[in-house]
Amino acid sequence: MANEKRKNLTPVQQEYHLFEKERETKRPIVRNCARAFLVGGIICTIGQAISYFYMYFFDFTEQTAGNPTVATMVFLSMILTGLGVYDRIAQFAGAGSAVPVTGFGNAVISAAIEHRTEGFVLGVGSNMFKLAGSVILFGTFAAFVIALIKTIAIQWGGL
Amino acid sequence: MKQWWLVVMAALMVASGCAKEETEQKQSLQGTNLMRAQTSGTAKGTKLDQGPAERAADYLRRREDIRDVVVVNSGDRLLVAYQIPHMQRWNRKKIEKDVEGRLRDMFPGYKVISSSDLKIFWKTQQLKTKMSNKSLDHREVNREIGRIEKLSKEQT
Repeated sequence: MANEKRKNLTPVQQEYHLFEKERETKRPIVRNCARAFLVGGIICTIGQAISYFYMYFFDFTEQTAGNPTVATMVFLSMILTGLGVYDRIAQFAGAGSAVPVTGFGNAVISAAIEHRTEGFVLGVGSNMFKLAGSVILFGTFAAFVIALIKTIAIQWGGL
Repeated sequence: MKQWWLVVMAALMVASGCAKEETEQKQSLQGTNLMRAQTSGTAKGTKLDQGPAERAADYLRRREDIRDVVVVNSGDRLLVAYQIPHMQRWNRKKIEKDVEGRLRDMFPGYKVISSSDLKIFWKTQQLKTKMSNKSLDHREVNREIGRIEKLSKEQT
């Protein structure tokens, strides 16, 4: 907590804050980063292999192979989530499994599984994109902003 | 218990990251000869005149921002496929534009089709090998070039 804010706390609150700080479990940040890097890297390597597979065996170029690769990766993560394997990977890797596109498939299916007891329409149907919805919304919005910046830079910046 | 495989995986990844690009090419999915161009970069064994292709390949090989090149020509069409070194890919668009422009200047009578796409490189390499091994006529080569050109323009 910032020193400025701590000054506003009552003595009891300040005491509690110190008490909490002493007993709080320290997060192994370096280890978590290493794990995320490793698993994220493995996921990306698999994605690259799938991309090469589509390029080698089908008429996809480097540019067009991205679409089926993303679809395949999302599909695979959905299957793994259904089988309960992805959850274990996520527990180990943290952001390394959530940040790649496979995390999107995991978010959709885990929400669907969680709400299946509420029925298919009002349970699965309405809650499936509970978590993935924000990914779609902010992804689309970020793409719009980037496109806007690019357009402005090209039109007026002469890039 | 859990830690040992993590260490093994990390060591493997670091070790594979140190590999030279050329070695990676040899070990990659494309097979042994598909990725690596012949020393000339053109289909010399074919009956069709590959003079313009050889000149284009010579020029491109001298450039530092191009790693490997395959060129085939037939009639008034010149198909150029090349690879850009990994770290130079940041300037991919610029390099592509520059190569296209220079080749157009060098071969004014030709319709230049150039691409830095790996798939186009493989396809051109295949065509070049086919031209060297079998005696393909103009029509067949043109049809193949047309097919590769269509593929290079594919957006979706």
